[in-house]
Amino acid sequence: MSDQRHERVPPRMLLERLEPFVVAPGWRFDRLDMEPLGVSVDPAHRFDILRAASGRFLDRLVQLDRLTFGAVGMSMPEWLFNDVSALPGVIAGLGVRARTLPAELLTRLGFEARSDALVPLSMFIAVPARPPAAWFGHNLASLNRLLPELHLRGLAGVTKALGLRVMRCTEQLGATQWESKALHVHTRFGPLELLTAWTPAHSEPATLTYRLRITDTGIADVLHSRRRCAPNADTFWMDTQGHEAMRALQRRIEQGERFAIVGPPAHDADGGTRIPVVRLAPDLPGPSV
Amino acid sequence: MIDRDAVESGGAGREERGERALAPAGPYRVVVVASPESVAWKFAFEHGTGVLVLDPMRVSDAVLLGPLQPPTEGRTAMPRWAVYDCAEVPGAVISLLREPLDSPFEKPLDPLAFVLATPHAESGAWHLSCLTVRGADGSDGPDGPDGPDEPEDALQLRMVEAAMEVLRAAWVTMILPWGSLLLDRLAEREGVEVLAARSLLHGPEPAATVQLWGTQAAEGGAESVPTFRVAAERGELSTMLDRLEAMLEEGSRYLLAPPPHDDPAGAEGVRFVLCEVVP
Repeated sequence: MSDQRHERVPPRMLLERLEPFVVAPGWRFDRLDMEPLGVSVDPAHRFDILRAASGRFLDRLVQLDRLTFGAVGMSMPEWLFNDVSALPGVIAGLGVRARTLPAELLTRLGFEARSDALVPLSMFIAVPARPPAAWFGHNLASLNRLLPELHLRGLAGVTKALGLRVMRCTEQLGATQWESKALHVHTRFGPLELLTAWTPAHSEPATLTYRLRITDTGIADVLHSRRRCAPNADTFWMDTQGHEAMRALQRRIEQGERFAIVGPPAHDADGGTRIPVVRLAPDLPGPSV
Repeated sequence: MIDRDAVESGGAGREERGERALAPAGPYRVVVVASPESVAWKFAFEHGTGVLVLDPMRVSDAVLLGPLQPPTEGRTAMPRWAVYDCAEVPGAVISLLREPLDSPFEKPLDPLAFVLATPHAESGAWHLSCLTVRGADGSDGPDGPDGPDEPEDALQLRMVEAAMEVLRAAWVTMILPWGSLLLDRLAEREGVEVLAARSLLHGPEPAATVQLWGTQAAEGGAESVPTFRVAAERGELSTMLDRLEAMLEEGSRYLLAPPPHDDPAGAEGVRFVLCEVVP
């Protein structure tokens, strides 16, 4: 399994190569963790969404989003980076100084930056869902796939871990498509309790909404490329194209049953993809590792 | 001086005492779209009080939400997923329905106005966005029970006040173009502070980031002196915004206020003034 190769260079090593940044209103920085995961956020990389000087960096975040999601038509309109991202919530991520990247690469990516300016390579955006501890993550962007020459494997998970720590988040909500590769990242943090399995209110009904308890163990697993969360004998499998099964699972959730995704997507013999799900006891406070 | 943390805790206490500082929704029915587990802590209403609560995570409710969607095309477009991820589940969509209070809820919903609400990281604080007023035919623009007697900016203000009431908001933020008539309406209200002269990523028309305090917080308010006059003529706006931006970034604070009718220069041609808060 390719996971064994990942472990040669634990994703936590990215924290030594890359520099963290945070975007929020200036008044919020005091209540955030500016030394997440043992690294310090340079004061120059704490961008106040209310200050004009942050504008150029915000433009780079817009470009990062377009590079990550533009191809699938899910990039965010610019104004959302302010209204439903940095102003009420937090954008956190990792980047490098422009001078450390080849000029050709900067041009190819469409980044305009002075040599000492920070070029974002990843970001996690979340807004509070129940302040101060519960947050809804709505964007996890990474240039790992676009820049294989930079060896950024595990960047998305590390970025999400960093952001959750910056936010002091203990419970994270999110929505993603059943067929999304992001489930590989999210399930490293622990089991994902399903709040919806079929979501007509979303752009794509074959979307699941999940709740994730953030634990030190889950964060450590992400940083060390471990996977504790795994299928067991009680597991049943959801086909990522099985819309009728999603609707049926949604009906059971609405009737009060509880379920959790307990592992990453797996390929089946027919070339399809399936997701491991277990039924939870009704009185459990929440799924745990 | 208004302190954000002090207001934050004060807001909760005020609500526990059952005091309501803000105007109600007027003659309109209210619809709130929000996830069920958040309703208990967020909102200032009880079930069965004329407020319809829809759960975006239930299939039967989700199919009713179409009329409460912002435009998905144009400069202020908001994709459907963003409404779900940034408002309906973590926060709320709040709407005033066209139908009067004493009528039953109709399906499909016929909204007069709605606004998206996203919680700030500070308890009791919210950001409002995508403030929309709809005509009877679904077009932009009002055509409610009050008809032309209630212009669009008046409905916008009513929607904002109703949202603050429902949300039990200690304060809210909004980003509004300087040309918006809602700013003129807000200037008549106590406790509206300008946080940014030009909001990032809101071009090309310059837009202000403003903070609306709950009435009680504003009443405890600060002494302030008129500093900037915002003229009806737009020619001077850019220069004024340059100065305002510089002063805000140096730490000055400004409240919106109506035109000074006793100003020797006369109120004519002045939309509103910005008063610097005395430290």
